[in-house]
Amino acid sequence: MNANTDKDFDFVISKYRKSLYKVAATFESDPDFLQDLHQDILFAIWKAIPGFKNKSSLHTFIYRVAYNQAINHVTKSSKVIHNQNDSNDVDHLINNNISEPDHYTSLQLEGQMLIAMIRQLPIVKRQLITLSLEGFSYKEIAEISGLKLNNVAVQLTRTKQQLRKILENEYAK
Amino acid sequence: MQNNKNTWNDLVSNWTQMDGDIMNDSNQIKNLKEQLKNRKTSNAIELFLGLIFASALSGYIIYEIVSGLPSVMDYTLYSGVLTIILISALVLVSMKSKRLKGKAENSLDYINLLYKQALVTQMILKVSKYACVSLFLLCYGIIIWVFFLWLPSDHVIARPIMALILVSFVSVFFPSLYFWIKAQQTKNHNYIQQLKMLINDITV
Repeated sequence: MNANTDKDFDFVISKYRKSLYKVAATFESDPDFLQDLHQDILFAIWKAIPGFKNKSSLHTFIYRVAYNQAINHVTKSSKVIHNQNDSNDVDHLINNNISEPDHYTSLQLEGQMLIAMIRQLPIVKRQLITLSLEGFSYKEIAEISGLKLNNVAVQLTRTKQQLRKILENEYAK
Repeated sequence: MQNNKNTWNDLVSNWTQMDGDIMNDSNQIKNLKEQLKNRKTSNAIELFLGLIFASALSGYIIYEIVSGLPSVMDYTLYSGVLTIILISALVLVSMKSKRLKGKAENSLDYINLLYKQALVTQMILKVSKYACVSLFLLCYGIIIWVFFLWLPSDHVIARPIMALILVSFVSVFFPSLYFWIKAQQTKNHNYIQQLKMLINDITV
């Protein structure tokens, strides 16, 4: 790895490490496997950076590689459907901590709950919603996911509705 | 509509605020980089050692073949082993190949790529299963031929003991290999189903 690539990777780590951690968390609930997946994603990016040809922005390139690695992880470990566990995760968070008065903890909890709810969605929808939460435009989401632009809009609207329904159901319990 | 927008904005704000909860320790980043570097080095070492081992072994087998072997059976056996070594080396190189994840244009491309690879793997596993059965029968054939037809009958004690050891080895090794391949086939089949589901999700 040359100095430039190393510098690029330093930049990626400092700018994207936290976002990529959240992406990994939407694919893996187990803390140990989550750390592994996060590391796998960064490792895949490190290996892929020398092949980056400026055809797309570095921003979309990073997420493309990250999602490819996450898809690899989730399909290889046969975890496409694990809604039951994640639904339990949300229940656990609500039942045990929702009345926590501390503002910081409550923010943390809301974030954890959001991730646990996203994990209940099918993989493609998980990708769309997290990219949208990261502030990507429809065009960029289409570029990363491979979906057609109009399909992104349709799927994203449905996903938002589905997420709202999950949110309502969890609080109604 | 306004309510929906607020809910979405709340989610975005929760999502963004989570960054503050994720550790920003410079030591942690340093450790992470160290771990990644170690991983890259160990991957390179594994690949290097694997290729050295495969080259040395195949070199030796080719040398033996070129120097001349006593019978057609030996040529068959040596060629079989050579093929297995070369296939293993190719699998090792493809497993460690770089930048695959960056090459796919998007997630759909990548899933299609994985799907095609998984189909090829399934085919290889199927062929390997048949090869395993064939080698099993071939080994039994060689044992029978060597110990009961070819070896002089004056080896009264050595012949049955050697035959028993070889039969035991062949009877344990090949069935174990067969069932391992079968298990891999089932695992790969499930993997193909997962990928199919994903492709359907994206294309529908």
